Amino acid sequence: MSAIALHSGAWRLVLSRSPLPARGLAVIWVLTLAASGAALLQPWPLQVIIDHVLGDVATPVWVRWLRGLLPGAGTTLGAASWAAGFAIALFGVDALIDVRLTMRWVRTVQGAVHGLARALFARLVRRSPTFHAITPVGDSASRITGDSWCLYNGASALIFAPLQALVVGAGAAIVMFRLNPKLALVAMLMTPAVVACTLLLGRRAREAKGEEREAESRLESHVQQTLTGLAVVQTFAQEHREQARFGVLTGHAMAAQHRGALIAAASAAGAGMLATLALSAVLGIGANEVLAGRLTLGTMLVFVAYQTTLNGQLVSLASAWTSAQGVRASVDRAAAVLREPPEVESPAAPSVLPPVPSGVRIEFNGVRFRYPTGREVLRGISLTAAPGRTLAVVGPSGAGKSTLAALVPRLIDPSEGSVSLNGIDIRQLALEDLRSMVAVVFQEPLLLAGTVADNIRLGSPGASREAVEGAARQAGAHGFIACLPDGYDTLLGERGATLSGGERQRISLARALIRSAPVLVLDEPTASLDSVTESAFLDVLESARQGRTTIIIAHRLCTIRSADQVAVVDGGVVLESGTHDELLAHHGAYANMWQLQHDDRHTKVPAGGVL
Amino acid sequence: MTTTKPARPLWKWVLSYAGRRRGGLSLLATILLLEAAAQAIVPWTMKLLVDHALLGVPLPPTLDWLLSDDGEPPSGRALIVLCVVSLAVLHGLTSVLGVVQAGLNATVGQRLTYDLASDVFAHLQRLSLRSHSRMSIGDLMRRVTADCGAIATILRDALLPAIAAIAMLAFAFAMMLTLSVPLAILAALALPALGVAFRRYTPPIMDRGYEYAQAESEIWGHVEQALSAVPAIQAFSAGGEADRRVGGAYRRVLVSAVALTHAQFRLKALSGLIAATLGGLMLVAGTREVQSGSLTVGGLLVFLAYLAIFFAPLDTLANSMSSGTEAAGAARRIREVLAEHEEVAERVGAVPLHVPGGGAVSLELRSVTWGYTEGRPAVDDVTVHIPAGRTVALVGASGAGKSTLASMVPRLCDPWRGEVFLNGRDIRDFTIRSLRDHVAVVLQESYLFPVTIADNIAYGRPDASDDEIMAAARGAQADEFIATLGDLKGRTGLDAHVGERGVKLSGGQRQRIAIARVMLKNAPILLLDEATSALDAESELAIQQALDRLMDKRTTLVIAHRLATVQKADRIVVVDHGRLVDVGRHADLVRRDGLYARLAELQFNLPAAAD
Repeated sequence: MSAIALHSGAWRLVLSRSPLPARGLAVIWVLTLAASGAALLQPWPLQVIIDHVLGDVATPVWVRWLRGLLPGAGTTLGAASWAAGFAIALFGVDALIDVRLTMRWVRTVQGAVHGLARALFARLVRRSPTFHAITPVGDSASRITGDSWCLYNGASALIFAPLQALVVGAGAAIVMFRLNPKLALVAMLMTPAVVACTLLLGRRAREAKGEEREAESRLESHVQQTLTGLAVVQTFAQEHREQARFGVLTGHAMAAQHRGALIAAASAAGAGMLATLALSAVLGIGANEVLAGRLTLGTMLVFVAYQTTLNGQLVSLASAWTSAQGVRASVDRAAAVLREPPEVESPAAPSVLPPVPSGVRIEFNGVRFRYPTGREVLRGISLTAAPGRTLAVVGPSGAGKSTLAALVPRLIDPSEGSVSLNGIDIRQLALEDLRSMVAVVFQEPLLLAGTVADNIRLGSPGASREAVEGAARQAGAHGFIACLPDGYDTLLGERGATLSGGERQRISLARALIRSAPVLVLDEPTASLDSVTESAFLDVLESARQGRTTIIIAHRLCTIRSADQVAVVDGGVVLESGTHDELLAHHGAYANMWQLQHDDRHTKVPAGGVL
Repeated sequence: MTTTKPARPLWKWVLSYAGRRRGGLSLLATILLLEAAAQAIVPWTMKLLVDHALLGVPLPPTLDWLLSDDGEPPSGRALIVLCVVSLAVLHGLTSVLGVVQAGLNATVGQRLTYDLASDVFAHLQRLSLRSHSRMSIGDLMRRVTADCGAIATILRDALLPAIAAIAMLAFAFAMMLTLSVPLAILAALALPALGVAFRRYTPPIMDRGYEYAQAESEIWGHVEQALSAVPAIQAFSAGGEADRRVGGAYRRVLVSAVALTHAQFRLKALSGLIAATLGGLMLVAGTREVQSGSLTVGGLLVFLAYLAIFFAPLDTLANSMSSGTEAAGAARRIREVLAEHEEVAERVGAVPLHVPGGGAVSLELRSVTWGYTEGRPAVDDVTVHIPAGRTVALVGASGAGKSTLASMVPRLCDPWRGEVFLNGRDIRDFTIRSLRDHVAVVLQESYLFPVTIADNIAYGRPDASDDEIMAAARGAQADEFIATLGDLKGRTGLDAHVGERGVKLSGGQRQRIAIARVMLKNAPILLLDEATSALDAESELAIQQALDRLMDKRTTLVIAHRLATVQKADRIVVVDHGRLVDVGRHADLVRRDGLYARLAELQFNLPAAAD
């Protein structure tokens, strides 16, 4: 019972994000009804011809009236021609309704699917990097592009298929009762059994569909992961292993799909067999009635035609129910995304940071950060970057430096403690405002599809070409960009694959510099730069840092020359901090690192070199 | 995507896949034909019931002989029972066949889909990194997982029903001929009319189907890229921009969905109109035949029933054409991938590379030229010789072509011009797998797979023991941080799972796992592409010692921007803008006062600036 309650919640959640427009649905309802009406009318021209024109069954008033009204319908042949004309006209009406209906489906229902997909995307792209660290891209993509179709399949299986089946079925049933109540009763006898049989299988259908979706999304994840790491796969000659894994995953998907198909088939078989039983009963009894003269042949034939229609509707109702159960699996997967709020959100009543001409002071106050796995990477860090000054954070890799950097634009929030700008906790600022004040250069360039200019413009949408070029020049990227086939309009390959590591890094730098933000966060910005470029970059930085509060993270001390303050971080805590000279004099961790790099230089330069 | 080899005709290609699942498909075809046969008998049973049992027309001699009991014609009641029983059996049979068919449909369809998907995936793994740099992973994900279903649609949902429909058509036509030759000929007029309609209206469906699949895959591309770059999108407040891009892509999907629906509707409406018109004509003509006495009422009924049977397959044919050609549009996308030229292909007669235990190999890149874009070489006529067991360092600015040169050794790309020799033999003479088994690479960006840490280290050698893995981890200075790892399921140390893209680990930690991989692989050729760029000085020093031991007897190509790491090389090759500019030892190169001297000067003056 609780599962059902949870489930209706899932539907409600999904529909609240992407409502199926009532007007559009209403139009579809009306068109569906019209289509059903046309379907109901189809056997009539034939019946009129057989019973009343060719046969000698007493002609109803309306037929006589019609034959009198329509020119030429008095003769047998004329009546047949009119009947044929009606049949063609009916087809025309049917086709017109059909195309309107299909278009409505595409625009209204597929439109809602797109709305849901966009809502899922918008939510997922706002989840924290921590969430994405443990959620495969393939799984998220599969929810956006695959499970969003639950609205379409749901509308079809839960609203329209039953509607059409009920209308056509009820119509057929009414006609059947009017034609011959006794036969109609016999025909209906099996209906409850069909319903019971379908309901029994629903749960299994849902489970099978759920497994199928999971298996498919694992397969998609595998494709995505293998292609992303293809360089490693190829150099380690492990294609066969990834292929084998692909085979295993397709096997799982196939098994799940197969079970689903079996359940659907069993449900259809049950309904079909029961319908057949009913039909044989009607045929047997009906023929007897005809022999006894209590039923005309035409009536019986029409009756059987209607019963076949009714049976068809019953079977389609049964399979609609089965597929509706399958839709629930996708609804749950979509709702799971929507139910989780983004880890980082704007406050309801954001404060506004008053402009301070002297710049922004950044403070980390007893900051701790713990991964969902329980590992604590920051254990109480307190640091201050003075306005317009540069704070360098150094330390061994894995010390928590990048985590510290991610706190400033609130990619993640600390588990304990706070980060503040000019004394205001950044969680009190509107997210948009905060992030517009921060420009970040990541360790990995994280370039997107699109042109070079698009990528630089990410930092400042709507920036002019001059601004883009200016930023690129500043970042030392203009030279190589100008050499690209289409310059700034060159389309970057997947993740900028056609560029070297250093080139990608410089584009990501330009992307940060174009943003005239008062806070600059640089996470190992020069790790993949050669010394010429690095040196030029450090010069650029020198000027870019003017008036900006800068946090620079590095494991190489040369990168942090002229930092105003240096903090040494290891094991998630600040070991020491101060100016370069103070730290050297302190003879602590920093002095050791300095010594190491210093010595390294001397031991490696051969004696007698010009240096 | 460019196709570089002439494609086989679509039907040949489709049939080659049908051949692999010939058993399932022929079973399915048999069932479809049986169903058709069962359907075909129904009108005859009805005729028996109507004409002979109810209207008392004498039985034709064949049936009379078959059914008479000691010369006595069967009673009406006995005929009724016979008809009813056989109708029930026929319906029941159709039902059972329907279930078997549904089950087979699912199984055969999935097998066909995954046969193709597996081929596409294997092909994608073989394609060079250059090909991949031009393809979007999201787009490829859709091709592998969704577009591959086209083969099942074409074979199972279009071709098989079409075959059954044609058989049915022929049968119904034959039956109609026996009943009334002029009527049958009239009905046959439908065929040429439909042929013209198919010819005219299917090509647009294929094109719209292709466009629709393209539009959908654009979404996959956006989603995959965005989710892989979440930190950048969030830090630059580009979530709204990402939403807009996806929204725009969805609008284009809707436009193509509408266009596709229109194209399909045109075919459906036209073929329906042809059928309806002919149906009407038949009704009129049939009435005339009855009036003139050349056809009984039962005969007309049977005829009309066959007419329905005649038109149902026409409808099926129209639907098959419609869905088949839409799928052919998606299949075009698959064939594009499969036609993508394998730049790095194994030579016919390639032999496995075998290096006697502990033996070193010599390596020579002779006048190699290669680039991402034709006519724009990234590496131009470069020759590098590494004697067995020696180390050569590649030095140059970022984007000079160093990584490209290194990637030629494991044949991630093959030079346009020039050759790579291993022990004096062209590396293309060896099987790709054996060649790559002899090369160990640390790439610039360290990709970790979503498996355990141990499996990541043992990626090149799945047979490695735990002790060997641990030893490699120690050598890469990774043992300490590995010991602190724990995942969400409580697995720790080497057994901890790495999240998607390994982002739970810092850049330096990932790099150390990549180095451990290489240490474990123990191959005679070592390629180190910025292997220690993300490491702090202390770890780097420790790892360098382990790497030095590893490089000791191995043929090594080292790329580093940090001159300190390359000074000990036996020879230094300086490249600039893809060309070789200098070769020599450190001391000689510094004395020559060229590019190397400038790089060296900057490198070693930098720390001094911070003094």
